[in-house]
Amino acid sequence: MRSRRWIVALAMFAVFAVLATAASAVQAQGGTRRAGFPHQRHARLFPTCSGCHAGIATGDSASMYPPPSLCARCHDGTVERRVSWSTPSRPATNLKFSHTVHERASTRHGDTLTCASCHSLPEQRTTWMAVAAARPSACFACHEHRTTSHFAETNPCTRCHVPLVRAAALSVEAVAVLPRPRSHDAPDFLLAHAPSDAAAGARCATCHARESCERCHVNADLLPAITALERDPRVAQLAASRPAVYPVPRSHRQGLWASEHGAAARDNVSSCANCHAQSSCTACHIGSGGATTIGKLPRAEPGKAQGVVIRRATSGIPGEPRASTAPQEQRGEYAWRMQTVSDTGRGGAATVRAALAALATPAADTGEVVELDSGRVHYVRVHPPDFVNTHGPVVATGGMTCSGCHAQRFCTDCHDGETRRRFHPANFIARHATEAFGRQEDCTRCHNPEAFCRSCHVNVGQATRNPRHAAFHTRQPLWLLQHGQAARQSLESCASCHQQRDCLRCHSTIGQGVNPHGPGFDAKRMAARNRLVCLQCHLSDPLAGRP
Amino acid sequence: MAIWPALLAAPLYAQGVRISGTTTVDYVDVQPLVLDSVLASSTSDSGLLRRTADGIIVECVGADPYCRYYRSATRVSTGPVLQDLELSGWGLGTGISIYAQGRVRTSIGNASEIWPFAGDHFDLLAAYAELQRTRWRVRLGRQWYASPLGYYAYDGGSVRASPLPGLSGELYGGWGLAQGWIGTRTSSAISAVEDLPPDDRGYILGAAIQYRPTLRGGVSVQYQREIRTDRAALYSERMAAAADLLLGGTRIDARAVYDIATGDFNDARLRAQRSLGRRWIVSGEVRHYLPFFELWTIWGAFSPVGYNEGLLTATWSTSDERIRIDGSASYRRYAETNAGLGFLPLRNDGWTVGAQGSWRVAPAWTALGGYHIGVGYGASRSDFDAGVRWQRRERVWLGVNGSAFQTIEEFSVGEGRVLGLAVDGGVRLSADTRVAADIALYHHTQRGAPQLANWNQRRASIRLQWTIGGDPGLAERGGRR
Repeated sequence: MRSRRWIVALAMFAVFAVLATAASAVQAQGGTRRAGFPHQRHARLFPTCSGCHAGIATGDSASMYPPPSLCARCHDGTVERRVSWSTPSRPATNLKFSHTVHERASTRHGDTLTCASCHSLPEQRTTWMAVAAARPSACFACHEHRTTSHFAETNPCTRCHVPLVRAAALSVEAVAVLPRPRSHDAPDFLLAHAPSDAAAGARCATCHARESCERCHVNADLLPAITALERDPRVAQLAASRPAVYPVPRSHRQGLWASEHGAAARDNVSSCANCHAQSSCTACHIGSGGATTIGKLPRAEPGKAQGVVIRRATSGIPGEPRASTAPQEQRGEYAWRMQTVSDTGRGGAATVRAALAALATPAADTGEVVELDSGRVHYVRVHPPDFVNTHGPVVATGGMTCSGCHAQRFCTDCHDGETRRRFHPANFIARHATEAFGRQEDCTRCHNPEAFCRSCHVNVGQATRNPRHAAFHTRQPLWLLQHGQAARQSLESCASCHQQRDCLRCHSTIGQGVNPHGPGFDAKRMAARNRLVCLQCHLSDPLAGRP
Repeated sequence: MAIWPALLAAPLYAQGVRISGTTTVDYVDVQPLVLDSVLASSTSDSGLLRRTADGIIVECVGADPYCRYYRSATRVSTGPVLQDLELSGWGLGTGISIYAQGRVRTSIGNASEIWPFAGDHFDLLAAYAELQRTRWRVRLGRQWYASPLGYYAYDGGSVRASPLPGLSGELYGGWGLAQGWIGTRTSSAISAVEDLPPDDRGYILGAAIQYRPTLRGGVSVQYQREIRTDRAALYSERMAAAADLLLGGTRIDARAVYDIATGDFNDARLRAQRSLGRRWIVSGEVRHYLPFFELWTIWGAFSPVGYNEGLLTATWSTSDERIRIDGSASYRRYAETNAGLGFLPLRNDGWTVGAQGSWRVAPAWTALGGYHIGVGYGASRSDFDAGVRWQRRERVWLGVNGSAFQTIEEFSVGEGRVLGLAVDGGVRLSADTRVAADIALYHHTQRGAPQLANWNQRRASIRLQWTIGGDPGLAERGGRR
């Protein structure tokens, strides 16, 4: 009977010690530490723990700590100096540890759990009243999830901790400095931190509330793992003071991402919704392409996470051709076309301002994870330099779907041949001769040679219907001898002023009969598709009777 | 036409419409060239080309008592007024939408003819209905097809299908319009400048296949023919192929356009682009070019020759794109014409070198500049530009741009040295409304050559752009498709 009482006393002491240690730990995190009772100096006075801490085991809060009057029996100023000691208040903690439960379990299982089991250092286990703070490792010695680390991945936090929202006694400051598990420092933690199941979600809830996730997740309302979390005003207060942080996945750092993310978005738009609202897309996507996918993304609403905010730069798009010679308005025109129908009326603070300039460079795939945060401007290349001149092949092969980002007018404003886009440099009418002869860009991709080029040349006097009075060639007395080579080298330039009849004066059977066909001219091949053209120069079909 | 009953029967829910417009008022004045004459007796020389007492070279033909020459006429001006309207409507039924784009054009001033298409007061660039499903799309109406073959508008239909991931095909056809223009080949705009214009409209038929097995590359092949509506002949028959591939960090793309009627490649180019670190992007391109002519003209029978060209570009920029510099250089050489004379050589090559840069001096200020020089057959040019742009809060911007360029035309009446100064600016009045304007003056320094064409010009433009309505497919913008 005596031995059983002794065990109970020890267990009560152990329970007390664990509680006291936990309290001191939390207080330390909170920034203030109350002076503890110097147990070891009183070792000879107290034979049992329960003498002072009987309530620890029973749960009777009145008898958990001795009253100050008990100290005063000795510390009366005569026997011992007076001391000021008061019963400590119940510490704020998120532990769900219960000394009472542990005492009962210990008794039921016949374990030899004593106060010293948890509240003494291993090397002082035999020293009476060498009381120390309980350490989490002490728990692991008994519990089945044996581990060597408090923050081990396999630890179910919920075994010892209550969800944060239940730890109401913790202050905002204490919540702010809750320890950060080492796993959270892994380079790609943010990219794959979603809990895999309910148990994992419960682990998150030990330190997080719903506002923790809502700070960044645009789709917080749609994710069960987040909606399963309860709200907490302390976390809300902390979240409000911290900017959203968005990791940039490796896929996004690859060269093709900006222009070819459509397929990935279609396949897994819910993944996009973690970081992106519709407005992330509509900064560029003003056309109908991608609309279905974009429509599945949540909207960025005031007071909630805005997602990665992308704004198209209006200060010009580096890489446009002849930027220095183009009127400034040309560059603004491109940007404005985006702005006018996409970046409008959405409000909200821009946390990230991405100036879309030209396609992410292949070498940008460094593998590093970049986190977007406020105050930084991130430049995303959508199109490579000079794309306005070189976009043909990649568009033809479907590498880019223009309608995803551009309205049809975006194309026709150039290709309809009236130069509405101001594609060319300023005063191109005066400068265009070099480019027209050189044809680095084929004029006929956008302009009709007769209705546009020749019409203008005629109207401004550059072309004449009388070849003997042409404005060109007037200072070239031997021009007639040179014009054959000149014409073959740049016949489209000739045709931008001259009519066919000008040439037929000589190069036809009714004219001088000068043969214009060069070596290798395949008359049959051409005639097979348009025999009528032969009759422009020949009075009769020159191929008649030939197979 | 089956789309129209579906359109009309569609329940009236979730409709949306977006209308955008651009009103443009331009102003330009120039001094056109006009034919003038002097008495042959007033010239000092003899022969075909003579010189007047003023130093003007004139052309004196035979016994004509007058010698003729071209000079710049008095200043004429025009003020084209253009109104573009674009309409998109959707929500007329699942996947059904309509689209139209039109342009009204008129002009004020005494020389409307110096502006392109001034005589066409209305253009309908596009007007079609579309039925879109997951794997296919049908369009009926006036539409256009832009491809390596060029820009072709037509009145007809197109069917696009994507039967397998990465594979898609399109068939299109109808009554075709002239290449690069919203007008028929038989319109007065062509007959006004061509005595032998086409006498028949044409059909256009085309097919294209795209195959893109991975995100890193794809190919496409296109075939297109234009046929006279009387089916007596073809206007054109061509093919095009394109490919692009990202190979080990290098983007490679290629394009080829083949004229089946002549058996020639009109355009064949291979281009590779690569980033070197974070700051450099370089590219190289080889290209073969040969002009294409439709078969209603005789030009293709004149055996035009093409040229081969190599082009290098490099771009350097700071990581934040605050400073950016682009440089380029090219060289081209023409094929043998078999028409030249050894004692009268003509240039048969050409080269260009250029650089341009931008520097964002401060968040609101950007400086721009560049210099290009091009020397080649037909014409040469040297031009310099510099400017500064101020932009505040993405709403207001103002730019000043100065330019100086010289153009030397090998076969022209003269050369031009032109100084220019342009000011432009814009204001975003509201989220969907903006006004932009620019004014530019160009002064031709003639350097004592009285006969040179005068390139003095004054240009101005003011544009109002606006949009009403949202984007299809976005809930916050008025509904889904």
